Amino acid sequence: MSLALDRKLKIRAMVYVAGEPIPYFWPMRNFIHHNPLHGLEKLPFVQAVEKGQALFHGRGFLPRKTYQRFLQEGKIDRASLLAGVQDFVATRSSVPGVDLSHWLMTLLTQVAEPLSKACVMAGTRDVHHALNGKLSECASSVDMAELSAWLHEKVDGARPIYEAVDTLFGTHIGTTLDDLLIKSCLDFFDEGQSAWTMPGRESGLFNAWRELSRRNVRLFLRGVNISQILAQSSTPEGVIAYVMDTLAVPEARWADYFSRELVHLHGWAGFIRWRSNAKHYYWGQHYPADLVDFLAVRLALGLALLKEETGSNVPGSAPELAQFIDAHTAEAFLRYEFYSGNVVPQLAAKVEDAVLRGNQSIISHVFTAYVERKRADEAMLLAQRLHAWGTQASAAFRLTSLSVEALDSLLATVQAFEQAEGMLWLRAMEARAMQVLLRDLDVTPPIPRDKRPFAQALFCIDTRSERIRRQLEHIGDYQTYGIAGFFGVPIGILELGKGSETHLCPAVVTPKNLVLEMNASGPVDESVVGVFEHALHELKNSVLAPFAAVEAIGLLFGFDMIGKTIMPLAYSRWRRKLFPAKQMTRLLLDKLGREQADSILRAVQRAVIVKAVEHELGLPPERITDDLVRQLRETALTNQLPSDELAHQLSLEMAACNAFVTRLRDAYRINRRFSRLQFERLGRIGFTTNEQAHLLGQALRSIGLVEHFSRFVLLVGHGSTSENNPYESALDCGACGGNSGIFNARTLAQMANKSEVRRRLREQGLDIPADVCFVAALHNTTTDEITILDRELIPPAHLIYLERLHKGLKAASRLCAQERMATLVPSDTGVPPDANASSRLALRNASDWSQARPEWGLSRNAYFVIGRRQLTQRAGLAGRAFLNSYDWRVDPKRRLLESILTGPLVVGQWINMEHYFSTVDNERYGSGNKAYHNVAGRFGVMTGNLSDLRTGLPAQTVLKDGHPYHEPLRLITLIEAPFEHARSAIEGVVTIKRLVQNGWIRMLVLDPETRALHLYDHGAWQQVDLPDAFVLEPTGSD
Amino acid sequence: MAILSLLAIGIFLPLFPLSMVWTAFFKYVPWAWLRALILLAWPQIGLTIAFSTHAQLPQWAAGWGLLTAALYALRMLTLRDFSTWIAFIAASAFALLWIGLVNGNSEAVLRFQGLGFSASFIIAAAVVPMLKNRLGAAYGGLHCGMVQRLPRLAGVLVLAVLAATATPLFPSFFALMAVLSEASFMTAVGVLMVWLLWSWAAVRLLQGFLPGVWSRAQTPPDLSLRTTWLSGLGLVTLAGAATVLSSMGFTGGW
Amino acid sequence: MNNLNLSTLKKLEIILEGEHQVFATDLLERAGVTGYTIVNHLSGKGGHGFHEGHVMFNEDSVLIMIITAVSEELVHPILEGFAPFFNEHTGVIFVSDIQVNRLVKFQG
Repeated sequence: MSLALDRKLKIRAMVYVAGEPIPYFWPMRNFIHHNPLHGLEKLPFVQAVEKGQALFHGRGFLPRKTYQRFLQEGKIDRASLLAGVQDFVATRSSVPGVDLSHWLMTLLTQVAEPLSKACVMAGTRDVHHALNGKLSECASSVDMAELSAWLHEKVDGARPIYEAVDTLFGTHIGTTLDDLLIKSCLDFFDEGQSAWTMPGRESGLFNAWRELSRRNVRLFLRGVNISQILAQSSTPEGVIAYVMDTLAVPEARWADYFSRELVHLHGWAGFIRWRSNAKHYYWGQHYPADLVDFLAVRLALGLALLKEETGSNVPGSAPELAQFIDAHTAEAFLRYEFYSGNVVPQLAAKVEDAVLRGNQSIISHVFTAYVERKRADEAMLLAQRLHAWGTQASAAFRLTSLSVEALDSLLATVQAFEQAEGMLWLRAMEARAMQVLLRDLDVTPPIPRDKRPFAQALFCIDTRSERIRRQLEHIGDYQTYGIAGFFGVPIGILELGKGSETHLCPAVVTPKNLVLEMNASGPVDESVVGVFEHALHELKNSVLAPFAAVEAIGLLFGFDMIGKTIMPLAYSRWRRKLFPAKQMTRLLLDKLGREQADSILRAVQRAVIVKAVEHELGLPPERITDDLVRQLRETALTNQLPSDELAHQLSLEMAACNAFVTRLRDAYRINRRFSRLQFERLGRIGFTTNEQAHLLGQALRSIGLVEHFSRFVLLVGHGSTSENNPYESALDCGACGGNSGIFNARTLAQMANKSEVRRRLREQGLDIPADVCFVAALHNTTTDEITILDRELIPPAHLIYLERLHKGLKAASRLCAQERMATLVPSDTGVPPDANASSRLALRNASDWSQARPEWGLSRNAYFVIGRRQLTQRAGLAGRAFLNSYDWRVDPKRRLLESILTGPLVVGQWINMEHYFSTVDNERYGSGNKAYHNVAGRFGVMTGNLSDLRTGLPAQTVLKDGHPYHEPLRLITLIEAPFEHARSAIEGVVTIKRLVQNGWIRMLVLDPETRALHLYDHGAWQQVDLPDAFVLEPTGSD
Repeated sequence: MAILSLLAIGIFLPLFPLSMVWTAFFKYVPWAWLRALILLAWPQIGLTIAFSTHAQLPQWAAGWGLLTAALYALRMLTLRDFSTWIAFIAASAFALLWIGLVNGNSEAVLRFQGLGFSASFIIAAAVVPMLKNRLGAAYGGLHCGMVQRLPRLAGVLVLAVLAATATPLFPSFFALMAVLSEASFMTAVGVLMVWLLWSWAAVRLLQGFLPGVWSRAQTPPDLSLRTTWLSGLGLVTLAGAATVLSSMGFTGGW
Repeated sequence: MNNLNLSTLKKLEIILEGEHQVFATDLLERAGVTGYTIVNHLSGKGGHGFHEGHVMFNEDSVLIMIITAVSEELVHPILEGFAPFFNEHTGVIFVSDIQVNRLVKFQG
């Protein structure tokens, strides 16, 4: 039965819209920090968090106890908290005899648990009776209509039907469904990990699964009759329509229903979303799958499982469910209470008995008793809590003097307050953070220098650079700048020995230029061949090697494991000595001339032909002459028949020779069409001189470095080292797409040292003196070592100064490691380690495979500063700030500021929000404890042996000893520029404008000319003063 | 006459469907000390009736007893209420006494078996008020995560449940060994199946209390150190006494 | 002039945010559309304010327009299909009558 086209398309669009709140899941090989509520960013922050709570069941704010602890530690500004409370009180009606501000402040700061858990049975009158000790006067009747409505909301709503059945009948359809679906997903999405792969994957997720499930023994044993559902339609849309029609859900609620279905396994759904949109993903192209397939599989399985349970009294569709709740309200209520775990303990056995027997008279009997008991219990509990609260506020006696109306008003106020308290705490925490930032700012105008600094260093804006920059400036005459980690040069790199291209740029950009890493000890042609050769070589080895290897050298692996565990540092050093050091390489980044490209192509084809002849025909090397190869190549390319002479040289019959040449054309791709493709790809290699000059100029201007260049300009990319860490890409440079920034640094340095490039720049007005040498370097953020790369490219005249540079870098590294190690050692060790111990500890962290936390990474990030370094030079920001250098004076058209806002700031916001949500609810938004993680399919992790793909950051990254280490607050951005300049730039970038207006980031503008500070708050820009002790005034409803 | 005495014994050494008397009675007794007394006395009363009337007990009674034991053991698997659980395991264990009774064991041995079972169940019953006072009810599934918040109580609960399900070296273990030693091969297999079901039920019960994340707002106070030591001491003493007594030959063939 | 054989079709101009391009083109292809044209870097004003046109770093937040010509019977399904999408997102679809030469190019 086929579906009408319009219905089919409509379902597809509904699924697309339903899947939007679910964030993408990038394969963890290139971990991308992103906002888990990215799909909800068009809503204001508070609303998005509420919607996230409804969808993902994730908390948006920390529990009150944690905030109270922060308050004690001085991380929250008490004054601004009080101001927030007062603003809230101003919006509520007063309660006679109760000083609301004082009481609410007490509630906030001294009462550990929230007061207002929703009371099901007890009303305000009952609480009033309880407070006055007259509990027996509580009413005993229940408004059944109201109860029915309440049940509808809790159970019915837009929840999937099987979820409602689970809630009311204690079945486990949900977990079984998840398990079956995850197993199917693991089979389908496997990326080369298993030996036996799922058959039929090329036809797509739904079709492949459909074929298998008809013969699935596991399903058969469970008695799940899936064939009947699958027989209804052969397309996923058809199955979806059938299931939804069977469940009789009205079409207006479908999109919502789909959303809730998909959210159950939001890791997998996010992965499928990403995969169906990724344009060049090999596995996605060969084995297509999209959300519609996934949802069809889920709905089909869900209906099959539901049908198993559906019986005389178990509803199997939406109308049946609604009818059950209406007709048997008492039973439904008892069931709900029992299976949700909220049942009154003393009556639990009775309720279970009544519910299982199903006898209506027993049920109504138990219901009456239960309701009475529950009402009394709830009223008592709430009264006790109110009393305790009143005692804390030293005014408990006021409670008993309240009338019922006044008590009602008080309870409503408390409920509204506790809903809004998260924002109050957050704003107060941000107020304190802003104070810390603004306290040490240096707003004095820049003093012109008399001589140029010894060296200038460009670091990534990453928060970890803040520490090393500070130390470097401290130990010598160094000037540092912050620039996005890919230095404004988006490239695709083909590394030596690798067969595929890696994108080294932010996730939202696609690089247009390719850069090759070449072996420096040989001419250009050979090393390109080397890449292909190496790839073929590896392929041959990888199939056979493991089988033989385990038998022969299995013992060595045991040795390896012992060494790694007992003495990780010494062992890793020793192992490195066994393997040869990486060869000297050079980067090819100039555009190839036509003849060059042609010559490379010819050389590659020749090499492939030689290999083919060796492999297929087994001729010895001396018989494979250049002439023979040339003839073969021409024959293959020009589509001719091979000549007799050729056949003779190959010692083959004509037919065999023909077959061989055809094989060359098809399998080895020595043909015209492929040559053209390869030629085009070769054309992607490199940058023209103009492009190089443009990129360099843009990079330098964006950070404001346009004159007074030092002898050394260091371009420091960063990367990390860790063992046995599925999150290792999260510690690398986000601006480089989760890779190390080493190649971008080398590329820009090589470009900048070319005289031709400098000449073009000089024509544009940017004069770089001849004695300036750009040096690429790598900052290893785990060990804090800074290694200079491409040392052989440094001109001889600079070598005499290299010693001083080395010493400076080493000193800065050690001081930085010392500062950082103090945060990594357990908090109860007394004295922080000294410099030597810190260095050793840092090195050990990088090579210890049992270390769950090799470094803190970007935890505790809080600020994003766009301005000159001098602004923050005096402030010790403890590795919490993204520092992007910017000089507004060289950016009259605001283009550079806009590019910083649309790129680095967005990435910074993603990182900040990822950390925020992983901290406030590590189980839902984060990925939980690393110790339980298992890598799944090589692209994600699961907890335990079967679970949803875990998204977000693990507990070890954001928590320390169970308490948050990262302080969750929204990114506090400070732009140093004239107000109108900054404001126009913000308005000009739609993404940032939306983020600021919806309250996802806090925006401050410091006008250097007027020295005024502007803050965007409550939908408008407000000017505030810049005194020493800085206090903000929030009004409680942001 | 024989029928009447059979029926009478069948109430006190529970045979289905007379065992329903036992379970109902146990459920409705309110005081903990009275329950302990009943647990001790019930099988002894049955044995007294059996030996005083010198009743000729039919062979099928042993098989019926085993079936009753298996039935209650099976039923225990889905029980969440701890008191009812104890009643059921008691029914199951006391029913096993029929095997020895029909095979003509000596009175002393049988009484020892009965005592052995009772002693272990009394320990379990003693934990019930501890749970009730703190959690409101001794009901599994409502308060997960006891290991985190109430570790001492969790420990005592585990030991109590283990004691009830005939774990060495608690008294019920020796009692069960005594039952096994007198049984024929098939009967022994049946008894072992019942024992297996007991331990499965024990795990399921503990599953409702110990693992998981504590989700309630308040955490009740844990057992005091004194109570914990006393309980521990009590358990050890009991185990010691059982070992000593059994080695003195009260377990029949062992 | 005589060999101009014009046939009537309907033109659909779909304006939406660039990040949804893959979804929109996929939906059109499943509807049976033979081809489409994409116009990039649009700017415009709607209920949500003005959209800037030039691409910076971020290719997602610009507007695009997809133009396609379909026969009349496909118009309703396509509009129905896009309805749930446009309930939640900015954008419009314009339907107009056009005439084309070479009808064979537009038929699947």
